[in-house]
Amino acid sequence: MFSNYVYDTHRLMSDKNINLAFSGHFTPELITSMLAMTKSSVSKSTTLKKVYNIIIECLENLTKHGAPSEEQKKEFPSIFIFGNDADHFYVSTGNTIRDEDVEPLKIKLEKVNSLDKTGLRAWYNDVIMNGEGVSERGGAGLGIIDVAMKSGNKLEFEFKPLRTGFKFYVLKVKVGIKKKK
Amino acid sequence: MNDLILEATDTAPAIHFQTNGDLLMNGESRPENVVKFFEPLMNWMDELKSLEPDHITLDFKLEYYNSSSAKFIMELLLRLNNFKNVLVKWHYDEMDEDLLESGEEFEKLVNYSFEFIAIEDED
Repeated sequence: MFSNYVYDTHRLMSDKNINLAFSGHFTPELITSMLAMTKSSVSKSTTLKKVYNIIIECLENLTKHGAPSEEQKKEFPSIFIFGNDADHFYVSTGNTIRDEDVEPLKIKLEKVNSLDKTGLRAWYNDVIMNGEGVSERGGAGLGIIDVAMKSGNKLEFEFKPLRTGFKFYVLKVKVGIKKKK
Repeated sequence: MNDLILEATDTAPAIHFQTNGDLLMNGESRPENVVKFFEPLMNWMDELKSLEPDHITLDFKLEYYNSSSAKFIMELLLRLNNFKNVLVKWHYDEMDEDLLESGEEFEKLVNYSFEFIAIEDED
């Protein structure tokens, strides 16, 4: 049975063009290593620089919001998946959030998706000038706006039922690959 | 008052802030504790104000900064509003249109000018 897991995971990753995936608890050290894995190819084009920025923001989000509490780190692993097809890079994350956090997050994500680039920029500038400062977890409220601006595409998100009191928050960010001029 | 010199790390940029008004930030900024990293920079700037330097030139060479650093970079740039003869030299990789655009946006929010310097790609 065990070998099937390995084979199935391999097939899944290869069929879905997944370059990098990790499930577990995300630490700052792990992020540094994962970035090193992607960085060698990153500075070569406008698109890859965008992707690098988005990856950092998404990974940091997992360290900040990945587990509802210190004790629950093992119980609630987060996931990060990075892949691409011919036209897009995909950065996807999944992490557990409390039921009561779903609504405010959903409102924010829907607002992000309702705005064009100019609207996002205005919102970003407003938060950076007048926002409430940096939270204890190090979030400035700018991350998701920044990701949306860099992505240039609508964010895809879902809240999957987990167990009572919790949802699994899935976010998928898409970046179009610019063809060489 | 002394210069403020910090070596770069994996997650924090090098800082060379000199009391003559020449300031440099170089590297990547995504420190684990963003408050702990930026607060000494802010305090140093407040102290520098009392020396009344005849100019401020900030060489901004961050190739990457995360969104929580952005908040502090804004604060730092706003502090420069209180100084004389301020110039921010905003260096960016010529491929990195987002970084150029971020600099242009910052420039709109302050009362001095930026000079934009494209770094040519090596390969």
